[in-house]
Amino acid sequence: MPTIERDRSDLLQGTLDMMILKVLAGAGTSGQHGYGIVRRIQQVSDEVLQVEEGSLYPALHRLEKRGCLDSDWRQSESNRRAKYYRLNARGRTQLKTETANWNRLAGAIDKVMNAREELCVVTG
Amino acid sequence: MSFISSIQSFLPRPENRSRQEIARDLEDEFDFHLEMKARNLMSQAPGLERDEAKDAARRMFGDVEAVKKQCQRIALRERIMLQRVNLVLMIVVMLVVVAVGAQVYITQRYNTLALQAITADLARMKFEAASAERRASGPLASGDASDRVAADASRVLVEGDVAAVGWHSIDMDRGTRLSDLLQELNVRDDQWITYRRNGASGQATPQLVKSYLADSGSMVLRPNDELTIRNDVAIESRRSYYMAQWRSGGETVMYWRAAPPDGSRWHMRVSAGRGQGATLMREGEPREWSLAFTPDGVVVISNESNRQYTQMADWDVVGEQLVLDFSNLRDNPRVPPQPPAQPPLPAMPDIKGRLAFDRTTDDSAFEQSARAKAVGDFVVRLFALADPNDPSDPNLDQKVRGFLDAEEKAADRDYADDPATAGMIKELIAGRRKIFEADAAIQQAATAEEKAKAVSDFLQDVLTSTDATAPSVSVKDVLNHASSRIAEQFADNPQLAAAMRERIAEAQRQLQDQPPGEKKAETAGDQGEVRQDDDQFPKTSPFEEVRWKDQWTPVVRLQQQWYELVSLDGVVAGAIVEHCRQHYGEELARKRFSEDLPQMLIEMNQQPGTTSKLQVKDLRTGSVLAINEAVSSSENREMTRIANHAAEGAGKAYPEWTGTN
Repeated sequence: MPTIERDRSDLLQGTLDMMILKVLAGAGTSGQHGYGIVRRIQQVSDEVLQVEEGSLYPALHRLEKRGCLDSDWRQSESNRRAKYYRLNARGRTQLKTETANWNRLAGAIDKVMNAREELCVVTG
Repeated sequence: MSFISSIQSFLPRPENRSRQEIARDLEDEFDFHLEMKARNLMSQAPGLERDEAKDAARRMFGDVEAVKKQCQRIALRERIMLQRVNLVLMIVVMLVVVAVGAQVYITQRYNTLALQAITADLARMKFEAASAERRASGPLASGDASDRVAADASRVLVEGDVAAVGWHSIDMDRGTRLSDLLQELNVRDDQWITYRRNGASGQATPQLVKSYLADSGSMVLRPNDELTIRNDVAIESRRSYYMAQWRSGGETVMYWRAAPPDGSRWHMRVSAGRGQGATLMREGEPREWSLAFTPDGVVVISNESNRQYTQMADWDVVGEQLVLDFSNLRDNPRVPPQPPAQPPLPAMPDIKGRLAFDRTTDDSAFEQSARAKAVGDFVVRLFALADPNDPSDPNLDQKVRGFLDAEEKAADRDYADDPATAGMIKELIAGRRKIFEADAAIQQAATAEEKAKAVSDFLQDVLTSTDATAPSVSVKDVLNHASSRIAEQFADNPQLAAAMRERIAEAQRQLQDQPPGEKKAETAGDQGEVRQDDDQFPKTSPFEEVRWKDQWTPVVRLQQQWYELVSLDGVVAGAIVEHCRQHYGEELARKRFSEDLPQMLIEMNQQPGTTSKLQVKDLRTGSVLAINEAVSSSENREMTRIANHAAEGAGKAYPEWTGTN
């Protein structure tokens, strides 16, 4: 099947918001700054997922504007002023919705892939 | 959740910060990110300088400023939307007021069923208000607008707008299907599609895009997305990678995209900002190579420090990988060779704590600077003599001469305690005077040449006008005839006329002293030459070799250096050459000049000695030099003769000066 090659960030277009919400859900009430979110996604995905840094901040700011995230300015571990984002109630609801959508989509893809294999066996 | 809080959660958060505060926050946030990234790079690559790490972090981030602007738009967009909300709410309120008024009116006149009909019309009126707003901004995208109203009227009212992106309108809230757009634009297979959203981009061939759309259903363009269609793109697509090549700004640009295979950590990004080249990065390493693909199949690798494409490497595509062969790095011939590194300047002395005028220290720099200032002042004063508005001032030379005299005296007086400075200024004065001398010599030579030519022409004229067939024409007759024509011939040059008369008178006196048999002139064909035995003359030459420029200008070699001969013992070279031509014909003239110079000079009433005073012109600079004691030797003459023979042997009439001898 022909595929379209896209930037990694492009591949994450629909899922970047979800992953940000997920990382912040794990960060708890202390929250996390943008760089920490990038590092966390890379670490958890064994460096497979590379978040385009230029895409992260617009996504963060958009989520904040939509009321999914709260933020405040604090001293970071490096003693520099940093902006920390935290997940709020609306964000948790959004994360549940997106997670459900993702699972549904992944399941659908899985079905399609399995269906193709069966077809190959029949015609083969 | 209360009704009010539900409404508030639906609406975007109000932005209380000023534009400047937003910009400042973004600045801080991004600075922090880049700082952390740089630290991470430095921890991965010990030895990496901090500035290099920060540069690398910024490059890896992408266009920081563009992302900042994007974030700022996000922050401010809600404010704009709130303004729109207010506007729309006003319209809604007005509509409601009208509707309430109508309701009151209807209540008075109609029954409850009629009231329900008017309320149903309210939705249509809302949509019309939104549509009017859209039309003010641009054309609507295709589609059934009423469907959208029915689906989510409130969103239409709040966000309804049409943003024009390039050549096409994109629906603000629904987007435009890419498949529709490609069909409408009639995108061809040889074009190339670039799609950019929120700083991220994807590129593909139209075939791949269409295949993707066919498989995945649809892809929707949204406002602020960028879609670019490039022409004249050569595309090669394979199973899981593709590449495209096009010309941009005279350079061939290649775009390569492949999923990194297992174990490979090489990946490549196109530097869209520059429109050419690519950046190759190796994950986990801050080092970054800039690449450009040239048509002859090499990769030009940039050195990060100066961005010079200094090296080239072979490249190839094997399977799904781009393979770079760094084992054969070589210089890039397109980059001009770098000049050799200059030796480092000596370290500046530490003058901290020293007084600038403390002459008790060994402050040679101070003395040198004082001397340089004195010399500079001298030059400034010299230049001040010239009137910039009148560069051809005829009195300038005179002024300069007077200035030099005065400065010479002043130097002794003003720098009595600083002989080095005084000496330097005197050197300058002497150098300027030498220029005057050279100018005068050139002028004198030119005048002498002019006189010699005038005399030669005159004598030629006299001899030609003499009856050559008369058997008894004597030298005396010729001289008398010449003497009678001097006044007429040199009317505009009385000095030359006087000199000519004097020379003729002397010749006449010499004739009276000679035996009658020798007073007979030769025929005009021999041009009055009184021949003597060649062996009576010294066979020497001051020149190591003689060559000829422009046929008749002698270029002579003296101590391995070549010069154009200006004069010899005060006789202009042109006059000697002319003598040779007149007396020995053009075939033999050059040979006589170069091999029998003493004889030629004697025939011209000169008295050549063992040394000569020469004036020669430097062939590179054109300056005239004086050589006071050029030794004439038989060795020189022999070398000259051999060179002449060599030229003859090469089939040349004479040794030519080619300018590179």
